[in-house]
Amino acid sequence: MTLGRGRARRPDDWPSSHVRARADLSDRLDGPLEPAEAVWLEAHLEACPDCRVIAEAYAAQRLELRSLRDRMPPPPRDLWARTAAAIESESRFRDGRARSIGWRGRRILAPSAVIAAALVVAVAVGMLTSSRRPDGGGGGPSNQVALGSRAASAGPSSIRPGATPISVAKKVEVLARDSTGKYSITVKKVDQVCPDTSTEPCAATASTEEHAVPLDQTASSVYGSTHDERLIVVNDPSSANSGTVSVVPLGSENPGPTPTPTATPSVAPPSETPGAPSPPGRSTPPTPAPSSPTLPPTATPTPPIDGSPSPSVAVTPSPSGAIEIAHDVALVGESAAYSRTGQWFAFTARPIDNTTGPDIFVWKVGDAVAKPVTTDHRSVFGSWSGDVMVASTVVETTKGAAASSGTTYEPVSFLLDPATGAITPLPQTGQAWRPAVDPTGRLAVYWAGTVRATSGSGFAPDSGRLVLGNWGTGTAAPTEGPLPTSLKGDQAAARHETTIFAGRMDDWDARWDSTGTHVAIWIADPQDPGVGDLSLYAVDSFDGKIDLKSPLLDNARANAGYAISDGQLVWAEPSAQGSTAGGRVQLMAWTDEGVGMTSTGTGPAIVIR
Amino acid sequence: MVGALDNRIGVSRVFGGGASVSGAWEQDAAAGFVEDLFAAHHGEIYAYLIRMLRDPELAADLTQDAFIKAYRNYNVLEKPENARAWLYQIAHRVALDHIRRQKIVRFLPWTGESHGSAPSTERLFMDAHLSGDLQRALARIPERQRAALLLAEIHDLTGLELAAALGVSHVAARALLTRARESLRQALAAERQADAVADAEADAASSAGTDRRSGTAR
Repeated sequence: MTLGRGRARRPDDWPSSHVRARADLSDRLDGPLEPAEAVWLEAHLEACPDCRVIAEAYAAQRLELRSLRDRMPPPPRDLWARTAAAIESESRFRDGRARSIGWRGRRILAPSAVIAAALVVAVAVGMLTSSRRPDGGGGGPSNQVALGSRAASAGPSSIRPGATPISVAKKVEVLARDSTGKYSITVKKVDQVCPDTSTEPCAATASTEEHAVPLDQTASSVYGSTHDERLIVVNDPSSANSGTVSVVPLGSENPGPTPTPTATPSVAPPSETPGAPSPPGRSTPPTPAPSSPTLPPTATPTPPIDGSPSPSVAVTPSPSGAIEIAHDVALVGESAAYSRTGQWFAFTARPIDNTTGPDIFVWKVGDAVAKPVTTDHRSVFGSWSGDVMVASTVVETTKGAAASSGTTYEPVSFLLDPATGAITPLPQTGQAWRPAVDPTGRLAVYWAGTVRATSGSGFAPDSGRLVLGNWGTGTAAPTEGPLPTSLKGDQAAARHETTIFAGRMDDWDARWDSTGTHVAIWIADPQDPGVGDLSLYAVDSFDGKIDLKSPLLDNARANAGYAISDGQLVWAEPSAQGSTAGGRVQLMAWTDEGVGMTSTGTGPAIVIR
Repeated sequence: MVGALDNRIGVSRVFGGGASVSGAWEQDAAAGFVEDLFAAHHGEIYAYLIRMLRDPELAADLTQDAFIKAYRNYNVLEKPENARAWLYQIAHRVALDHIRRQKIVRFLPWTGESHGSAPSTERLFMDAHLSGDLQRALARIPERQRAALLLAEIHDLTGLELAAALGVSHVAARALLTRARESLRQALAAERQADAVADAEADAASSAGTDRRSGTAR
């Protein structure tokens, strides 16, 4: 506590005794004086009224200064975003490797270097079986990948072109359209992936199956179900159609409910098969839901802005046997997804005429229509946590200065149970918009910052950053105990937020694999939201952190809409002209042996998510 | 693999002052290290800079600069327990560098307007939260003295920490504090006297825009 006492000042150092007294008065605020000096000071004060006034003034101004401790001016919210961006650009500049081969070039090198490193290890340890881990340590496959990825830092010189392919058993499903406009599902079985796509491709043996799909509209995005029972096809509004979401039954499923609004759906909820992935730590089995198409209670996280109706939803028969579960809507954001059990499908949509903002819709397997479950016209779906939705809405705020002109909105997240309509606010999660929560409920990717209104009654990220943060209790189903209070203090520190992206962003799509060990993040181009950059990160099982510097896939160009499942990521590259019509379809697969990629044909294709 | 494991605890290794590894790993560690530092200390660093410079935007810019410098120089830091004082030292240098470049233009008595534009919300915040007398008096004293006072009294740096942050010996830091307290006392007395005079001559016209305390900063 005390200031270091250097050499002792001798009394004759002082120009006057008053100067000495002032020094003592100052020093004693920082710590006790030496006894002899204290005695001298007391004696001096006794004789010097002016010095006593000074002593009081010093004490008073110290109190006044100290009172400022409780009045810390709040730093700008985007300060970390700015700082991180500057550091990031600096690290790129200083990274000679990245500079010499180009930043984007690393996206290929990173995974391939993993393989090279894994091969080196394999050679070193001899005839280890593929499933045995060389280091013998704990942790799952992802840990292996993470380690390999770090080992890749040894440098690109260890990459050997034409390296041995990695055996996998993967399936790539895309919706392809031939020259006559007919759609088919192409299923490619992939046995091998190549460590380095930039060299001569290894013989990626693949068998291909095709199944015709009766679609009479132009699909813009497609969602597959767990057991290939059906497709959910989204048609963006265009001159040719009014913006629909349709369910297209595939061979193994009944063609859905008869197209009568009062009909009882004949389709039972899909039964879970033993091999189906089930999120750890959440063992709730799918309960057979009532089969009547009753409307879930309408959820209202915030009072509706006005009484305008939500987009109409009605059953419309289609020649293909498809049923429209929503029409006159446009999908908002890229977060639409099935629940973990495959029982529900949630999406965010707004009316195509932009009369209101976005609401969350839920379709229950077997139902005739998708139902809006929010009515505030500013709610967006984030992700599923089990069979409960994690969603966000926004509230207007006058705090702070907006990065853009106009009203700024603060996001608030909440849980929404589609079965009961029950809403659980999550104020403890702080400023989090559209959280993509991992299957264990531990981590989430979300926008930490404010949200702006866009033209067309929508919302987009404003000032802030896309982060990976601790989610913790954020996904806890409603439990007993006191209601959580809103997050106080520094959110970035409290939630251990790591910045994924800072800067101007219009849309993103973050999805976890079912084990929660890998997360893929696609970030839309501001100019062309149909195209963006896709990265894949492994969660380090050692500390639960994601090393953003070591992505398995680093900003690969990808169309909106990719598929991630256990051990594989599938995306479609934009065509050479930059159009979203589709260039190559890429598969990245990861196993205990490493990470590899393969390209599965070309042509316009939509990845089935 | 051993190297990879080392890197997974990169920040701990840095704090432990371990041996140097490859550049890429060091940069990873530096970024993580700075991120941790930022999370823990950016609020107080920003507060220090805003009180030194009295300009929220500038304080934000210089806070950013300080953390970038920390990133560049993280391997200079030898002991983790010194990280906070070290960060203050960086911020202090950044502030002094800026002040030297700008001379004293920004530190003339401040009447609530600046840059010829309407006061920003941050300025209004400061206006509301800082005593005008104290603020102006602080602005009147030399910046190194102001820094010493702010760091000691508001940011609670003591002894060797204070000396390290100010970049001087602890004897010099102590002497600086002594001078700073006396300077502030005199500046506060002058401010209050000016207030009293102004109050005595109070009339409505004197409040708008006129700089009734024009003069040099010291």
